[in-house]
Amino acid sequence: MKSKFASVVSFLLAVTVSPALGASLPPDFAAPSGELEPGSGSGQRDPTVFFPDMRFPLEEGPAYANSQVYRPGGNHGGSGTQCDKVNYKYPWRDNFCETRGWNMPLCPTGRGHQGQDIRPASCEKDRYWTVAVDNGIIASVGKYSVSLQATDGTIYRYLHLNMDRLVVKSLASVKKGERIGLVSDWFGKTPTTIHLHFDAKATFVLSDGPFTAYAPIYTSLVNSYKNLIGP
Amino acid sequence: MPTFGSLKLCCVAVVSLMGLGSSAYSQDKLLRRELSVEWTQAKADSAGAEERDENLAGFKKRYAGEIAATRLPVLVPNSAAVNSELRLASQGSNYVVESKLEAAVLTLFGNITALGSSENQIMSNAASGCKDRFEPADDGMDLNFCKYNAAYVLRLTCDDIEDSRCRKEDFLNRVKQGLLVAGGEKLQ
Repeated sequence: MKSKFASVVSFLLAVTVSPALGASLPPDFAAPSGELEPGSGSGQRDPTVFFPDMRFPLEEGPAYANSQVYRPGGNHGGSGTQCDKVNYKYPWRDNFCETRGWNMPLCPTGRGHQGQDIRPASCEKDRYWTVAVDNGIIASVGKYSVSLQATDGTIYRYLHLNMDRLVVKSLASVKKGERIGLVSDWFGKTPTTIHLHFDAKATFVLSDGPFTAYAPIYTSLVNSYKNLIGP
Repeated sequence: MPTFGSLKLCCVAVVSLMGLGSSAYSQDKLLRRELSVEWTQAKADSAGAEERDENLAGFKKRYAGEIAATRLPVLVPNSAAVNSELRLASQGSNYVVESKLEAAVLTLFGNITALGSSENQIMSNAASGCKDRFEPADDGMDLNFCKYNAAYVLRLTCDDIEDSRCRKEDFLNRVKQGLLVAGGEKLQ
């Protein structure tokens, strides 16, 4: 009886303490696709969920998808620091097509950011795990990037992890949900803000052959986050 | 490289087709399908490949099972361009070859699963796809291309982003020009 009581208490504690289990997701937790931070560019408003089976790339929530440049702590973010509370609040903001120099054929201006930036639950580096969003192979481990080729051919990329604490090796098979590494601020010689840059490169059928490009990822992240956190 | 205009036209066409102006988008119309590989040309290109690169035979022997199970031509860098051990992993409809260079990692992705719509005739009227496209990134550069109607990406990441191999197109271009056909399901 005592152990049964302990189990119930443990369960209740888990539900209360774990954000993934306990938090209810507000219906307006994410701004619509293509609605970027004001003044940060023109977004892709297509609501297509390109990767409906994708798992959310962080092991647990809450998480905050938003700009690292046009928010406090960023070059165009005004006053404040990256740890400003406003950066750790809903609603999410798409930044797939945020103003950058990269050639991005699927963005309205032809240029954009390639992926989506995601802050973990709090402004602490090396604490929150990224996980495989699908079954596949760890295809490439760079200086501060990890690429995962899913069984459907999509190439997912995780940037700014703590590369000293990766728990995967190149060419290893991974299962959806398996840990990869910790969200950090690695960015070569100088650190960036604490966040995960996440993107997906997919192949599309076009008139005269296959075409491979970074696909709008925001909607798939919204979808997978709902699946992780629940309604 | 497809122009932005043609891609936009393509996207607009597909979006219109799928009724994406509203929120009632139906995900099941975004189908994945396997591309139809042009094996005849791949077979012709594979002839004599081992004479052009003395390391190819060893690679083919080491990964014979994986190569035979890959449903697209397995392209690999020529050792004249990449003088480093090649490692292969295959998932059938896609594969990856990794090569660790000095202060850089070169990865070649091959893939035949593509996204389209069930009514992709609209798409076929729009953009042009099969062109080389260099794509710089924070820590390196990609070269996207297609061959034999399969999709490939050469991804180079550099320890130092100022490394000219990651800043200029020459290196990836040279690797691409020297690619060899190591095999594939229909080339055994």
